[in-house]
Amino acid sequence: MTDDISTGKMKNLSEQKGTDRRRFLKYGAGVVVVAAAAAAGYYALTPPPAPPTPTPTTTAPPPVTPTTTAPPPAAPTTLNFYTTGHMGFMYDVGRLGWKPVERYMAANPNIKINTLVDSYFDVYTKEGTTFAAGTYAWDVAYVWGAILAEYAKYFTPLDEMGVTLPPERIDDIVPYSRNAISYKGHFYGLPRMLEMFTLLANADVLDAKGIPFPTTYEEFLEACEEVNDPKNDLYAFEVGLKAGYLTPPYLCFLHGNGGSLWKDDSMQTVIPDSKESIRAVEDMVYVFENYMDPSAIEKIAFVEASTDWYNGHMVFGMFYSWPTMAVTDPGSKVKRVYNWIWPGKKGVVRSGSQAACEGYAIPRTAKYKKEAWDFIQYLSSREVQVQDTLGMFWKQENEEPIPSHWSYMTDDRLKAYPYNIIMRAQLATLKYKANRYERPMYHSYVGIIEPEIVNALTRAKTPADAMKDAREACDKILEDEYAKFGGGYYDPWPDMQKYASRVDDLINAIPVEDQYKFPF
Amino acid sequence: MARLRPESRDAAILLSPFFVFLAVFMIYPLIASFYFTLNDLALSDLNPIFIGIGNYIELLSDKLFQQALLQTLAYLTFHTAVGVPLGLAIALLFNEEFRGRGFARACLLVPWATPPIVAALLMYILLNSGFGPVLYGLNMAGLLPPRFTIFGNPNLALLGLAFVSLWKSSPLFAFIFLSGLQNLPSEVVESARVYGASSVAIFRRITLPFLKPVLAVNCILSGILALSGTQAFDIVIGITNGGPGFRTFMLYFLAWNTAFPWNRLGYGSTIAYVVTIIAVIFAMVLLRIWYRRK
Repeated sequence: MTDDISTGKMKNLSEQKGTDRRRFLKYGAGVVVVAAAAAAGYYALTPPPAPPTPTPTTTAPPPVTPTTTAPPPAAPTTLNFYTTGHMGFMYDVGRLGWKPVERYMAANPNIKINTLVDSYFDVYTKEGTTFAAGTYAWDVAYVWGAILAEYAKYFTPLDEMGVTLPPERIDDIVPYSRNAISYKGHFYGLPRMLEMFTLLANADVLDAKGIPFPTTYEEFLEACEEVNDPKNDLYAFEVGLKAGYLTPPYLCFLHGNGGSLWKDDSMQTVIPDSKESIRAVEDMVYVFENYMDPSAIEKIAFVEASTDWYNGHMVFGMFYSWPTMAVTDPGSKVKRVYNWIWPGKKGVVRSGSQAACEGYAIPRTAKYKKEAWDFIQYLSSREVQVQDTLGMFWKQENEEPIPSHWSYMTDDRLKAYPYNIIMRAQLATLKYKANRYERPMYHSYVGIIEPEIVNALTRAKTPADAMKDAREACDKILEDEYAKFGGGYYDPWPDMQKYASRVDDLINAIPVEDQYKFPF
Repeated sequence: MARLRPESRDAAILLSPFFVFLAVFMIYPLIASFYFTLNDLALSDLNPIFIGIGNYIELLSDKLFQQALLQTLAYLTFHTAVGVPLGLAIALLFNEEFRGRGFARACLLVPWATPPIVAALLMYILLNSGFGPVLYGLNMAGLLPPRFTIFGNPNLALLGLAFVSLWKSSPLFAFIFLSGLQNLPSEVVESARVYGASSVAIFRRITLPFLKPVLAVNCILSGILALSGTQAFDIVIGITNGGPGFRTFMLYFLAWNTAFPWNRLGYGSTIAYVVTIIAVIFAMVLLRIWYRRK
């Protein structure tokens, strides 16, 4: 049964559908024509491919007729170079304008470097997901010890490329820096830098009050008591306490208490609940509550605390040495600095620190491994590393460190003011424990330890409870890590101790300015 | 096999790109991530180890998950209890005629149109204890002590994030309420006024009941934004990164942090799945309550 209205509707619908179908086909054809025209235009504008290489034959080739036409230049090889934002010097940023990448390309016209930059805090997840995807992304990639330990299977060991580093080269690399580019006996690249946490001080404030630069932790607390003046917005001490980069200062307090973050057993058990560690956290709580800006808990590393340093709102700071360069900036309120080692507990240890070492390695998916290795060697060369140090600037957009090779540190240019202050302080820390405990699940461990330290700092938990909870979580991670990676991670501290006299020689070779006193 | 009617076939052809997109970017990841939840899997080693429901069992005793759940519920409650009435208040205000209403409505869209991560970074700067102008100004006015911190205070950080989210979400709620108010029959309101009903009585007896379906939508939306939307995630990662301590760890952030920074893809996927189930249950329960009353 049909209804007039419904039949009318059906009829209209069918006509309508017919119209719709025609319209669809008309528009679709239009899209295809436009796409075809665009493709034709693209191919018309693209230069033709190079002619194929002729197949060699067994007959004698005909005599070559000289021509006046030069052969077309080979297309440059493009290397994708992945680095971090704080390595500004490495991608041609820097106050001296030295531009290492540009120089490399000028010296190697067949190489084009395509630099890709990410924040240090994003590199770990970026590299993990990129490597897991298994596709080509970079020929040269940023690494440091923890990243290399976890993702070693995604990088190319140098021995697989037929490259063997001679023993003298390995010996020349500071052991802390070896961790950045080696894992379980295999080398994957070369280090780019080295830098150590030190104690910085506004020399004018200390001298005005007649306070000597502290040589023990106890002296440090006394000095803080003398200079702390929060009513006038002057804080004795500052370091960023936000989770994300809290491990480095924590390690200074831990090593200054004579402690270690891992046991000397087969699993290298992580022990955030050792008595030295709990004491370290108690010390951090005490210093935070009595001598620090309350907002330090919101600041990450020194990069956010550095504004107070520059503006003269802090007396002591704890970081790598480059903020001492504030003295070279006419706008800075800091005119004179002391920079020396973080003082340890009296009768326990003279000092303890934390070492940061970074380098570059070659992912397995790299297209041009030989060219990548040439570029890495250049970045790790003496001239590049010395220029990197010379380009040091107080602003954290570029984090210029010291060279990672012993032989580079003797360069005469590093003996001039103000670099000599930094070189001496950095070298001095190398005599003391500064392990970073790089291992495969480093990011998981610190992802627990740092928030628990913050829990202690904010009095949400006692230091003992916080570190006990951290230990509980770390034990679970340890099981997983040992099952997957088998332990046996390189501890550079025993090797570092072998170089103590070399460090002394290097320090003594660098002149001291009269107005700056550096107590040993 | 029955042949498709011509109109159904045309619809299928025209919709096929969307179905392909849905299959590749939504259905496949849904199935794959469920598979991940049954395995111990990490980015550093993509060889999955089948563990069955091991991840789900671990979740039951995971203290951090429990803390994140409570924090998320607190955040959701605050977000809904304050955000939805705030949206209604804004809508009532903007429903009245006043000079510059059009411009004001356009300005109201700005927070909603701002991408969540941009909003987070903007608020991070404005409310920063060290260099943020807002807290500095309040300190200068004598209303706050110097160097007062919101996002560094474990008791205030979550509230601070909720405020940022409210700044962003309230305009959306307001516009949804506004569309409901536009449909309110004016003759009913006029009749009530003629009979001497006060504004409060009109609001309670006419406006609010009329807006119940819209209220339900806004409550569900608020819950989804708080529980699992990119907004909740972006605000956490842009401002506190889960800190201080774990005090702003919310479920969605915990899922991502577990999967990527902590390199436990299987366990992180498990948390994400459970969060989704919670969000769905939340929406279903709310809808049931509303429609039962109706």
